[in-house]
Amino acid sequence: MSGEDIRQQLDRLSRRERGRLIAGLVNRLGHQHLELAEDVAQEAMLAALSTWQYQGTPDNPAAWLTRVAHNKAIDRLRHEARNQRLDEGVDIGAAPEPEPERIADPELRLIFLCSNTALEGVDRLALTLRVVSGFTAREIANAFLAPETAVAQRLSRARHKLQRLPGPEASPPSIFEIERHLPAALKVIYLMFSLGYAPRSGEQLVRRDVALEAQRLARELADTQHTNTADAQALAALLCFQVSRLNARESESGLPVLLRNQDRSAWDRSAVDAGMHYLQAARAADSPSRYHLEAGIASLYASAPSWEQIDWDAILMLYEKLEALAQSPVVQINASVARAFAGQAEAALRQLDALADEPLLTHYAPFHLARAEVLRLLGQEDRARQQFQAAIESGSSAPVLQHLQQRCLFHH
Amino acid sequence: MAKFALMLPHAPDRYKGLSEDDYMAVIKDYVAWVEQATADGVYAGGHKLTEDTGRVVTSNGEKVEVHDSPFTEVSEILGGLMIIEAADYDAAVAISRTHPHLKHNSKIEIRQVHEV
Repeated sequence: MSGEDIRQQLDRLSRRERGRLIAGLVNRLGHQHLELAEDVAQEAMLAALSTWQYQGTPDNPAAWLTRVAHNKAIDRLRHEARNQRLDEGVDIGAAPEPEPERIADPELRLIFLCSNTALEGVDRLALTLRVVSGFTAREIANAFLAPETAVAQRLSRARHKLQRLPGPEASPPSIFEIERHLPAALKVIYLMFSLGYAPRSGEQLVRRDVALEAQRLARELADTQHTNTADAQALAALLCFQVSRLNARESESGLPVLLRNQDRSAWDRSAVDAGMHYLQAARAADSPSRYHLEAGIASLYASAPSWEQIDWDAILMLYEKLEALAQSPVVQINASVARAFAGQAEAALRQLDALADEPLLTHYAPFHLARAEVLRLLGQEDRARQQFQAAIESGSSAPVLQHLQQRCLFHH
Repeated sequence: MAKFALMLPHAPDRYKGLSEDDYMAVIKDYVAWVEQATADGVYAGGHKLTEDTGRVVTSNGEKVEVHDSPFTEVSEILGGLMIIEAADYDAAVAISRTHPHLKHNSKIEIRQVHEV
């Protein structure tokens, strides 16, 4: 294993452990101590790494960290109690009595807390990345392509808002209310994945980890009793299909590789299989969600033996349902490409031409690329070349892309 | 195999004012190196030294005196030491070349551990 691999593993271990520590502490102390839980988890990580720096990583880092974090939390609470002249004898004690009608897993409870609809959409995403998934403010800033200070302020505002919520509004949902609380949690995970998967500039490794983390959370929900609704299964399916192509969609020099040129043998078959499994389980839905439709489309790409054998008619049918459901220009762009490959290139071009007045699309590279593809299919090579040029010129405008994505994703 | 001590000095104010994330990023490089060296079977332990002023105990033959170490006047302090196993100085130097201390600081002193 190379030093770089070890370093990446260590980053992942740090994030997972930080998230696990925070989840355990919030579970015991309550959401009003979220900030304390984060601070203590950070201190424990720092203490751990300072020691491991010379003595090597212990066999059971999780146990080591839990013990250190537990002790630090008791110290902090005693200190606060003394300052407020409260009784001594503070103890964070055992985990609270399990309530059979509530979600029990600390990490799942934390996902629901962070996706609380009292917070703005972007704040839910940032806080989930930070608190559940253990990314640092810097890593989140990298993924958001935003200044680190802005991200830190956003996190701090969101955290304080959550901490001040009265207990009933912040408590984990009962198993009878899952259907009401789950959509917000699923959306956070969906957005987390989009953030990590989008082929933009920025710290690539971090972005990849963000995408993988979203997949992990989706599978966690899909695999757990009570949260394993049809929509959760569909989201897990979608993310598994997308993850299966993570390696194949990027060339060795880091350039994006189009689906038709991707080396299908580089697709992660186990991820495809997992996707098919979740998609099967997702069929119990009364009506298909956006996740169902997107997962269905992804499954058709994944199951086609070659680019030439893709079932474009089936894909277009799903896209048409998705267009009706999502009302988003990004979906329309993707749908138009499917439409063109399904033999309706002229209708696809009309659809794209109608989108040309949308000011935000002027600098959105995928829009110009889609137009170029369709024009090329129609044999209009000169116009196609112009559109490729427009795509290249808009390629660097990551903030526009981000704005557009968020606009489309948050208001559908 | 002989044992070699790697002494890792740094400027007294090297880590002052560093954000926790920055500091963590630095020490993660060290943890990763120690992991690698352990996996390679060449790491034999180490200790980080605290970043306080330490004490200096002196004797003029009659009287023992204790002083705080004059940190403000020195250009470097010893941050810690690691023990590695290597055939000879050349091998120890080769192992040290990848050490993150050279990236985050500037100097490693290598001394062979005397063994009979």
